Amino acid sequence: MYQNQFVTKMNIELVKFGFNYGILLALISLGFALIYNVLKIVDFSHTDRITVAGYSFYISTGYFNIYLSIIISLIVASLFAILTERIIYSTLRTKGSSALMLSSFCFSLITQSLLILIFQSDQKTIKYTEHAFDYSGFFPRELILIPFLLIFLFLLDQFFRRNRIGISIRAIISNYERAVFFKLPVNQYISIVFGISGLLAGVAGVSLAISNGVVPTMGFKFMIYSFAACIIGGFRSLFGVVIVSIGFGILINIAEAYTSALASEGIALGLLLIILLLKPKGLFSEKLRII
Amino acid sequence: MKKNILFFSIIGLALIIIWGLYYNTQKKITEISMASLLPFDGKVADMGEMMKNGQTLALEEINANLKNPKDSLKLYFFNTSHKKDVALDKMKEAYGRGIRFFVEIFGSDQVDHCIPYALQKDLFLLSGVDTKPDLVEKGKGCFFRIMPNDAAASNIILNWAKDLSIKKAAILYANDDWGRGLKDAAVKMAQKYNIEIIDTRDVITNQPSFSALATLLKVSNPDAVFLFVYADDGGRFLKEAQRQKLVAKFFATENFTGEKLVNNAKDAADGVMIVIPLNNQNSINLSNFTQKYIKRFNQQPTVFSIKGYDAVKVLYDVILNSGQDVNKAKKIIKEYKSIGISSEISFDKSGEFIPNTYDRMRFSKEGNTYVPKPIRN
Repeated sequence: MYQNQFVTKMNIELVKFGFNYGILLALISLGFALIYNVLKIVDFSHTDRITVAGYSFYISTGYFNIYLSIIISLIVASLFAILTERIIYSTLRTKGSSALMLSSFCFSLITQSLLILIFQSDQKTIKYTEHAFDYSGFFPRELILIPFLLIFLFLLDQFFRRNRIGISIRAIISNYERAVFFKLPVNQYISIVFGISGLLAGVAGVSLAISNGVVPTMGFKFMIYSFAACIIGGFRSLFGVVIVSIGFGILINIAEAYTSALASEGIALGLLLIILLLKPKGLFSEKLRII
Repeated sequence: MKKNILFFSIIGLALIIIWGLYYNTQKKITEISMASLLPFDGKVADMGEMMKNGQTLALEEINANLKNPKDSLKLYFFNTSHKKDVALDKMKEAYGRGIRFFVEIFGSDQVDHCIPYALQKDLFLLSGVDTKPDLVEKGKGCFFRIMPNDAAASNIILNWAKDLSIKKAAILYANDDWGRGLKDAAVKMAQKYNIEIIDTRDVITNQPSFSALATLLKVSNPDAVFLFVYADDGGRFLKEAQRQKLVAKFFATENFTGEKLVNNAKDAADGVMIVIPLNNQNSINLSNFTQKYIKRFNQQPTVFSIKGYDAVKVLYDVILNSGQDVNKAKKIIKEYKSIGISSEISFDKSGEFIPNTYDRMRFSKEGNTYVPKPIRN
């Protein structure tokens, strides 16, 4: 009885902190899913925007206060995403998805190598001390991320349903050729999607930089998990991606406690494999949906 | 006549070239060369830099106080990126340059991987950091160290825990040879100190989150947690432990010296206890060294800088006494005795370093940061 109480308490804590980890994964996965929907490719360099945001934050905190540093980092991450699309992907878009995917993979490696050359590969930490709230055990930034994600999802939903540009982006997602035929400004709209995904990666990057410091490969670790969350959730259901990411965060945390850190990765990816075998198109809707 | 002049000019030129080459070869032979295989990038790059600084200081001192110019020392640094294959490649490269003496191969994994080649080529390895217990045995007379092995460090931590009436302890360890070595030694010896090891948990490189581990340990409620992990991981774990209000005493080894722990843990570093293989914190030697080091590098030395410095001095003495003969050096080092900056340095018959008393230190606030301060018993 006494031991059961402890186990229950532990499980509640594991779910609580796993949820928190899942929110972070959801931010990254959402960006992945948005890009997939417009370009129909898995953008391997998406997690490098997390890294770029982290390093921008690291540099900015040396000169500005934390709030200004956050804003700068988010702008840098969004611009980085937009420029990647404008300079690299837009020129390769006509060459097919294989060329695009390969170029995103190459660009990811180039970004990491450049960061290693500039900052070296050792960890850099942010000079900012945070303390968790006594009653919840959450850090302030973690408590901000939960409403941020919900508000963001709501706004994204409204944007795709009611805004003219949002509706046009949905048209591009549904039928790219027809959107081009009707002379929609496809390039600008794709840039907007990249900007949004860069912003999401930026939020995750700043949060990670505060908690773990920055290293050139800091985003890479999340690629597999986010990618898996997108596949299981179904790339086209953004709500599904968020739900699965949160579930993934909880699962990883519980698996890590009951097995080991190494095994938890295996369990998460094992689950991906099983779901891929049973439902190759993911658990949620096949049409683009937010909620 | 012209032909004769041309002929003799060519012969003269050839003789000058041959003499030049011969002179250079002679110069190489008279110079004492050592190689140091350190990590300058990756997770433990800071430790590599600290060792390099200590070794550089020793090198400069040796060359500034030469009795015979022929005995000047040349130290070649190689970056291993803390990878065993790279370490072996660098060892081969150093061997290709005619180097037979190695003053460091950073990392037990790396040494383990390089030992067969060192035995095959009859090389001499001395380390200031490698702690895996069976390295000296595996080295079969080619590997020596001036750092106590994991068993000694675990012993000291357990002894300290016993003094603090610790009954239950958990272990967090890095999933590599170093972390596993310390964990295995602590688990093996805990019973002797009446300490129950209630849980052991591994940490992977760049682990994204420590929340699950902290939750788990909080529930198992240990009196102490032994942190056999790298300083950045240790710091991040301590921060998570502080967040989850995990109340326990935290013990660690010398790798928590340096800035990484405090940079990651921030104020959660307060009270963390570490044992480091220095036994003369207040000695004049150490304070002189510290002053010189700060003047030269504008930073405080760590145990890695000190061990790097001592290792170069020891190896240089051994090479001088052996006349650069590797086999003679292997015999001489077993009889070697000196007072280093870190401690008294001597070896047993098998070539294993004879450990001296460790210093017990505790992190406490100094100005805006936290630094380890010795605890007097």
